[in-house]
Amino acid sequence: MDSHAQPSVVIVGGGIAGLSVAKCLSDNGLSCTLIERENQLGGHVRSWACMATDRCLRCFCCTVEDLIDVVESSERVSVLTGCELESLERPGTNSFRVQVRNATNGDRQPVEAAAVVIAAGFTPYDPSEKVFWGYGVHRGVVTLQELDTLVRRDDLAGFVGESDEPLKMAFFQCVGSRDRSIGADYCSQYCCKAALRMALRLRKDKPDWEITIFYIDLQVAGKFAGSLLSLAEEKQIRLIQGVPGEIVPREDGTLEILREHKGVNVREIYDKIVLSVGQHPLPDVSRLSSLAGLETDRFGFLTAAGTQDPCRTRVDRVYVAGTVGGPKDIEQTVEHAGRTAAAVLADLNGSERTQQ
Amino acid sequence: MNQKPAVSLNRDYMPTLPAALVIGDGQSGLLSAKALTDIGIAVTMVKTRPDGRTLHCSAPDFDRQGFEKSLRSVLQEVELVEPQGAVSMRRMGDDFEVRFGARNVRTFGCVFFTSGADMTTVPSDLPEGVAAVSPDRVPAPGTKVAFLLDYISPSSPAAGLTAIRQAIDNAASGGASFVIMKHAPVAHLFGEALYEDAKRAGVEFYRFGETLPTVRPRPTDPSKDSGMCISVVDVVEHGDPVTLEVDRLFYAGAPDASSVMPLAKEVLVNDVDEEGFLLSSSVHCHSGRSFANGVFAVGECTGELDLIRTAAQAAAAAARARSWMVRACARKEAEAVRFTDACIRCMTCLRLCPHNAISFVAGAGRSTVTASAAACEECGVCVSECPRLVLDLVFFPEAAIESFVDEASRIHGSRPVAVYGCQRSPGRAASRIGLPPDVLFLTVPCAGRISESVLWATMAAGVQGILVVGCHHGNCASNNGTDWAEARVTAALEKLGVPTGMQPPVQYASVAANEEARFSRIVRDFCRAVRGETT
Repeated sequence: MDSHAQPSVVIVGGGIAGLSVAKCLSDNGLSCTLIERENQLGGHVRSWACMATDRCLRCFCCTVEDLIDVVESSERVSVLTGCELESLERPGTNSFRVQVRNATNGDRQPVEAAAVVIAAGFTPYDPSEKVFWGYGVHRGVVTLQELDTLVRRDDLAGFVGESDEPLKMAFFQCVGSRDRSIGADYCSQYCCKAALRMALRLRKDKPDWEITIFYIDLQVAGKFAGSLLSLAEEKQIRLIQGVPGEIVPREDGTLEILREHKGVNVREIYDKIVLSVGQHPLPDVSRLSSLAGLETDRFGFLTAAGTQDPCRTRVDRVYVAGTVGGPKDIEQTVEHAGRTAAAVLADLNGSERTQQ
Repeated sequence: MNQKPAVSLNRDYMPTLPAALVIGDGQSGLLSAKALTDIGIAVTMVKTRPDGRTLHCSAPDFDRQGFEKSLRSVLQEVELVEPQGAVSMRRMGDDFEVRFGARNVRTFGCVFFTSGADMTTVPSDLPEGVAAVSPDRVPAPGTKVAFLLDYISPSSPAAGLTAIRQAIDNAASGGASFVIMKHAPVAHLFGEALYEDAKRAGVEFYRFGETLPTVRPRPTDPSKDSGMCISVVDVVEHGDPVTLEVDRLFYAGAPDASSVMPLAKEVLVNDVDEEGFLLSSSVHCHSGRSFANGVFAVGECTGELDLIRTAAQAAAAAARARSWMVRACARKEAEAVRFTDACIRCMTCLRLCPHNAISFVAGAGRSTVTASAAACEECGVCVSECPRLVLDLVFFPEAAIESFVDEASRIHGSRPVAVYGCQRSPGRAASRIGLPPDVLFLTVPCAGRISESVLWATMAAGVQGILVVGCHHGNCASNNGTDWAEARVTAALEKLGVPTGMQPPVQYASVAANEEARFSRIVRDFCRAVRGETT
């Protein structure tokens, strides 16, 4: 196979953003090389569960399976899993030489590229640095991502036990988002809808659980989002404004919280508490940004050219796609990746026109 | 200087691509036209309304004048059409035949609907003089203004952010600003900072929770022309109602689906969401794509969107439109659905096709029905609903089902259970798990292919039970194939007349591609139930 003889578009990251860019470009006749650090494609989304109740709740998780199939069977996409971007050189104005390193055996492989798309994704906030949540200490406290993975593996019982006793579960929103103290004073944009879907998904199997979502301001924009809110009200999901400040474990393993209600502190007991953690920049985002000659914003996300051009960067022919440039839900990520693909097509098309 | 182009876009893969039609010359239309011309697609644009609205954008680095100038420059690259009379369109093979009035008939490779929805009119229980929030309607500097969000129904976050931006500007000009809301709109990377800026600038925020604020006109004051009194209880301060007296009240609404262009609703008839906006709320309809292949929708006609999201939707849709036209060129000679001579042109297929793949050409002698191989996704809904049974899929012919049924009858002594599952969801789930040996599993393109006659034939083969598995309701890649499958199972059971309390021998279920454990459980439970085993 001599797929590297012809220059292609190198895409760094095989999550939903990278896959979307690869599909869109290959559908338009371009060849791509997709570099993924893990041993399989799909990124975070692949470990998240379907949230359908008696209908699809538009969580978009299943779409990653469609994309993986298309990309893996495409002749125009060469997939390098277990590999990292090691270096990025620019021998000519319109060409890159990308060095890809296999993380397991250390093998290096050069790839010639006409454009580079960074779609490396995000990292979920680790709430253990805020000791008052007791994450990692109290057994009943998990992140929304962890709960998603449990449901995906059909292993909810491993967390809540086999007992038929109705459970009291609470979701805490904005954990690691809208928080100036950790430099994350931005909204992560996916968590309100994700918590609402998870609450409805749990309600499908557990009609007698008491499920509460504590929020600051509900952000439910977008298609079907209004329906999520009305479904939650219909299915008796408690929605309470104000997120409690501390989780205190009790001897019987339950969790106690204090919340303010009409000026009075109210004590409430929960069995399980789910922290809806925000999207944070990748730990090695600075390595990526310096390799590609990019900058990061004050939060640590890769900086794009600006509001009017959120996919191109200050470096010609280097693009960003998805959450590496800022928090997004899956739908927004796919849309953003589509715009990135369009920018790549436009620029390569433009250079072709100039050549003529 | 003489460097070879790094990647060749057009010549290697493409002959000439057909032109795109963009319906609507507002900002969403211009954004779509720009995205299309940027990637080398010629655009014809239909004028719909001269008074196109301005899209919301409150990003701090946004240069509205520069943006609008660059949008206007697009007009020099497109052909602008002012239709004399009604516009109508229909599929003609891979293309779309569009009529502008009686005489002017043109052909396009794809169609973009962008004619935006109007913002909701101000609710009638608010007094006269309350204006809608708009980027074009800035409050007079130095006045006392209030912005009302989430009144009765949630505001568009884009309008909410515009309100906060204008509240800051008004406070900076020496005025007083109040924002009365249920939820602060912050869902943008800059949203939280904008909200913090507003608090620093002295904008007062009130969260009204479940108790709606009341608004009445300010008692007449000859020195001022209008004004409002708003009474609001803040749930955070939870005190007595506060009465705010302002010179001007702005209401942040949301787009109104009733103003979506009728032609768009006609073409995308099966493709509108719960609220009536274009594009159904399926995971397959995003980035401007509809189920009708080659038809796209961009902007507020698809629901609430700000400028940034509209631009992203337009660009993503343009890239998809291009790949759709590439596919159409590649599949020009291909055949997806076969029609026999017994076709009576009843147009059932044309009406039911979720992908708008069927076209009907009235000829001088015999009219013909054809399916575009590019638009067809081989779901088989047309095949199984054809009243004359004259259609067949080329890549998944009737013979595939017949040989499956034959196999079932060959081994009917062991009373197998037949499972029909679509390739997208149960098919993928099944590839990760092992099914019991006495289960015969047939992967079909879409559950919508399983007609009632397939169910009867399978039953006649002597199977113990039939399980039809599709995608979840609202998740089917062919819009409603899964609903068809469920309806046919229900119809078959009605004819069978299974007594209550008895396990029906035919059952419908839905799973997602990432629910292999659930799929395995559904199959196991069904096998046990039809065999009368207890769990």
